[in-house]
Amino acid sequence: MKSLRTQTWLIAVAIAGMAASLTPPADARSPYFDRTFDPIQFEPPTPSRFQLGNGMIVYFLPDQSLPVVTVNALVRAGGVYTPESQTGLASITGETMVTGGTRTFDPDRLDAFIEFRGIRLDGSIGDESGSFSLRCLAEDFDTALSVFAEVLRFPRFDSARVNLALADAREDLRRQNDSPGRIIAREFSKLVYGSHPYGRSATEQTLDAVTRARLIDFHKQFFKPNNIMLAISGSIDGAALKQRLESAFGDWVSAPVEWPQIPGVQAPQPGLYQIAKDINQTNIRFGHLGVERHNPDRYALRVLNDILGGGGFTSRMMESVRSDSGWAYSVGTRFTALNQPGVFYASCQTKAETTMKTLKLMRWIVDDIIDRGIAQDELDVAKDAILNSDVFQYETPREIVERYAWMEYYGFPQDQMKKDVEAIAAVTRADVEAAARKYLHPDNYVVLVVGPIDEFDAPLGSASEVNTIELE
Amino acid sequence: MGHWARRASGLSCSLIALASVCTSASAEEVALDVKRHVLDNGMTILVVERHTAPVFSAYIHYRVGSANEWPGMIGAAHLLEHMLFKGTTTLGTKDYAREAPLLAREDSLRAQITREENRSRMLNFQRSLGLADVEDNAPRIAQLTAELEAVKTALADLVEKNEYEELYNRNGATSFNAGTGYDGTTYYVALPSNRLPLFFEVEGDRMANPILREFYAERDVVIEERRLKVDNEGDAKLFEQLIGTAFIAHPYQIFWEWKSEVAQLTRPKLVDFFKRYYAPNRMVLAIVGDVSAEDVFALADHHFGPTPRQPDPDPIATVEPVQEGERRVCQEFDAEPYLSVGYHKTAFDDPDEIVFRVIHRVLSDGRTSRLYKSLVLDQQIAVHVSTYDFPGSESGDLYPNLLGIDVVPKAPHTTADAEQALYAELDRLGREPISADELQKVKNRIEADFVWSLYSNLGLASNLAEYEARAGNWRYLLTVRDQLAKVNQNDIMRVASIAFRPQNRTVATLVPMEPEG
Repeated sequence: MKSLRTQTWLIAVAIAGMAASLTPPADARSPYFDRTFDPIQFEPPTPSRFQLGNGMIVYFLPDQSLPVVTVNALVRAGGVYTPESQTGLASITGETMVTGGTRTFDPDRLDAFIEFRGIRLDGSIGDESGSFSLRCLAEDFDTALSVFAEVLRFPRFDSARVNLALADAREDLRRQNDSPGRIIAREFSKLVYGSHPYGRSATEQTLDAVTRARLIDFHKQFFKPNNIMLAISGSIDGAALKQRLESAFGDWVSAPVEWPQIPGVQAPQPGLYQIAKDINQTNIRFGHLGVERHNPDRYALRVLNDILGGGGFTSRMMESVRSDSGWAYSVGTRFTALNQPGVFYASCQTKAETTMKTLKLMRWIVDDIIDRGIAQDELDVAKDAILNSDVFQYETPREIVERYAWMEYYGFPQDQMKKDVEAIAAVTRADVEAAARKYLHPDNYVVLVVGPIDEFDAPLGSASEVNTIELE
Repeated sequence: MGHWARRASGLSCSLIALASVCTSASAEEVALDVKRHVLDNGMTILVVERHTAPVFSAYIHYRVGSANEWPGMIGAAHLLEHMLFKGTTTLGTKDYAREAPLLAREDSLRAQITREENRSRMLNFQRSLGLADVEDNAPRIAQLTAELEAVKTALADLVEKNEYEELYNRNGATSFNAGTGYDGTTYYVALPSNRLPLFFEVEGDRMANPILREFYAERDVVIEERRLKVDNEGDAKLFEQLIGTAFIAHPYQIFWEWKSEVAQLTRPKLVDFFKRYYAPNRMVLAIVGDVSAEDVFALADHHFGPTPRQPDPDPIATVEPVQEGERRVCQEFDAEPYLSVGYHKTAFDDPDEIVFRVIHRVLSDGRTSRLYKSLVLDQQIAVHVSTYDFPGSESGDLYPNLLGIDVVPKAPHTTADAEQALYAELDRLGREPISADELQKVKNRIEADFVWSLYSNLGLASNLAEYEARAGNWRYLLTVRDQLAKVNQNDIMRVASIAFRPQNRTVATLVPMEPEG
């Protein structure tokens, strides 16, 4: 932030069909605009996949271009598996596994050991997945792998470091209302998901329940070789790799994971909500429940979202709210992908005196795509953008190997990436328009604004309609 | 596990021995085959061929940034960066021949309206004095505004919205972005490799024939960007105060353009700024990926070659006066306390610049760094400590810059507690030599990060362009490593004891303000 005033130029797709009032004379067009290119012919390298004796799945892709190695361990664990009263347990487990030492190393020695070698060892556990990464020079791989295995298998959860993590989390709570962007993300999730794990955030009380004993239990419950997948790439000998992994992980005994029941997502009550904050810009977010990760209509939805507000610069939201009106720097829409239904939302920041104008325009843009559908041009451009950039999923060996692992992690078949390309290519206008009608529901919006509510160009709604949220 | 135990048992007494092992992984083993070509008009092109995937990343650096602005032009570099996405005489328009006179008319009407509005102030004052026969210019303003609205409507019909973005994205662009720094402005994109000719056609056109259409709406977007990134974030507001207090003369003092400045920028002013600073001889292009250097050089010759060289503008004359006493500033905001401290330091070409790279790492890189260990782990005064250079270009800044330190205190500790603990560590660095282990650790980490910085196409392209732009030779990137090897404990003590004197310090504290109502 402080070094470069970078503006976010999102990946964009076009909307040329929208404003088709004039047909340009042929000579006004850039000579290169309609240039076409041959399809990209590329057979990306396929990682090898094998299993250790204890069931741990490994993806590996050799890469001799630089003397480095990356390892990513995907763990099926997350906040959704913890009780609401212990919110924060999963993320603090992830943090303190890395910072809290191991069976062999106390935390200071572990820090010194990895940092001296320029090794990067990080980890985090989110709502429904955990990811631990290792990055080292190839010549340090044996040592680094041993330490990495210790962190995954034998975290010490040193009391002092656990207490530090909890105290830092409490300080973070004190700061949770400092930034409007953070307020609106958290409060919107709460409104949409209620007490479902997707909507939770830690409080003083839930942090009190995050004890060292519970961290140890959480680790014990989910960190099993049969519940972990490794994605490895780099300048190492593939023939010797399996043996090295067996020596690091082989005596880790597999065992079934007991999966806690996760509550189902309930549709929220629609409504208008506002939060007062003494700033000179309003944060706007509205939306409703969306779709789960495996929804069969996800391709049509991806194209729909790119045209509507997800495709960045030439999406309808960006064109109207930013380029035409100058009311916002950042505006867009999103469908989140989760195991259970995610959310659809539109969001934006605008000055107080254009708050309601902007909200109205954004709502109209969604209504309009439901009522009037899309143009063929919009479809073509959105699909071209997705299909022609597909090759970037294979830019580096690390990206390739991690993508394969995540695909399996989320229960997709090995050839899913090829299937995705075919499925996007097959999306029609009718598919996108049907998806808009099926998955966008203006009557169900939860609308939340954070900002100087007394200075808006108009009230959010009548006094009886608007709920004002007081922040703790 | 016996295998593991053997390694671990040897650890505590063998850090130095291991160091020599670590440093042997030097980047000399890393092949960095950079091909360089300079056009007759001064444009520099760097290419690294990498055929792993059929893609390339292109990174363009222009040697102009917000430090080149002056009062009345604050925000010009940033707004121009936005405007260069608005197309050319043939891109982004339905008919430029019809558009051109309307754009000129729009500028002229805007200028007349501004003049009348400026006159209104005087007229209003005369009226308040009760003077007779004061002119009423409101009808004149209304008439001009009505004509302006008609011109805007006519212009809107001639725009092909966001056609530049459409073109690139339809062709599979990723990492499509731009940024305005203080000494440089950058534009970058990654495309499938068979689009290389398209890239040159588009960028050559953009440099030769840019049209700053939709100017006045984009000006509002830039104002909105300031609200988002500065006005409503406590740490950014605080930082603006730190910079403005630490620098009293040099243009680095302006963290972000103010609304009042941006709101009076005009298209003609930006066209002048473009002509003055955007020239092939002020441009470096680096391309890394599945391309042939020969093709790149030929395409560059063809598409950029005809653009004439421009005289170099004068370098910035203003030299920041030596600071002769601690400066303190506080910012009230609806947020928890925060501390930012700054010390003046060197430009990129000062021999001590490399020593500061080491000092940064010693202070704040990792959990074994001094400030983390002392303030976060041991004393638990803070939850977060970071150090940085401002403006902080990767290749060093063109003019003497600021070493910044941010501390997020942990209640009940205050910013005063944080200051005290911070200064104790900074003093110690100037008084006692750091251990050989600590120095070696830092060198190892810089070395490892250097190797990683070559990993992605875009990362390498940006490094090459930045170092080339700064020093006129990308090999500066490699010499940094040689210089680094020579930094010793005495250098660190000497530089720290000079830099971290209280007289050289500016302290900015964020003070919580209860929201009204």
